[in-house]
Amino acid sequence: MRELETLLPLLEPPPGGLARLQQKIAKRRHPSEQVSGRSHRRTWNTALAAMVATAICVALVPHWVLQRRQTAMIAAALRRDVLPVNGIRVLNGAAIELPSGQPDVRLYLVQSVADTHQNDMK
Amino acid sequence: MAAREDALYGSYRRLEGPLYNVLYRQLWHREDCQDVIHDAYMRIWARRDSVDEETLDALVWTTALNLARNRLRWRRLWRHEPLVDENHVTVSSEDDFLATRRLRVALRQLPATSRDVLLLSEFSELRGREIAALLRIPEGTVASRKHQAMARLKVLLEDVADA
Repeated sequence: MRELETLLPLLEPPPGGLARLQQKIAKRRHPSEQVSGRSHRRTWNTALAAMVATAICVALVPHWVLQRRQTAMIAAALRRDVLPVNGIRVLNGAAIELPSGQPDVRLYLVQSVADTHQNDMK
Repeated sequence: MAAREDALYGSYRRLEGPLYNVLYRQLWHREDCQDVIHDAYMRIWARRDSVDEETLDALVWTTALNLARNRLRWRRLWRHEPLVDENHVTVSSEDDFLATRRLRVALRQLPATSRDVLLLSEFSELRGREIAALLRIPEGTVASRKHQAMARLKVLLEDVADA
């Protein structure tokens, strides 16, 4: 006779508890059969994701590298020619005279230092 | 030193009822109780190679009580309060229904260790020394904590009834 029998009556656990535990352990013991389908799917998904990532890299990286190289070349040329061109002096930047084709027209490519830094930063 | 599967099932047969009764008075939810019990056995089975059959039952008790505490903490954190299986407790009248509610509120107000001592003393069939080892409290305090818990429970039940 327990002291608190009326206050805390003895309850019966839900039936079939042991059978359910045995099933869980059996499933855990043979995990390869349970997860083989899932693991196959996961492998294929990973392979597909890797292929897509590679394709994107192949498509985008050369374009990006070319763009950066052009920007770097222009910036280097401008830095080299930072001295006044035909009497024109650009503050905080540089200018290169380009061939215009007309005797009374002068054409300059002007770039400020700030632009160059920004391009370098990119 | 490895627990065999039949030892694990033997332990389950021995402890399912006592564990269920103790855990139910903490979680007040049938499925949660059985989940906790199964989870405890699955965890022990997963590391059965390092489990001594001599101490298997004590390990089950410790694991299950810890899991129940975690679940209660999780409920408090998320303010999740499951519906009580009132029908599970033998309720034959409105008075019984209210008594169960009162008991639940009163047990919740007891200090956690005192509540564990009270419930383990009632249902686990463990001796004072074993309860003390499980709860990591001095052996000499088990009886006094149980006595205090019972007295406090009676007062709380009266208070709840008066409210």
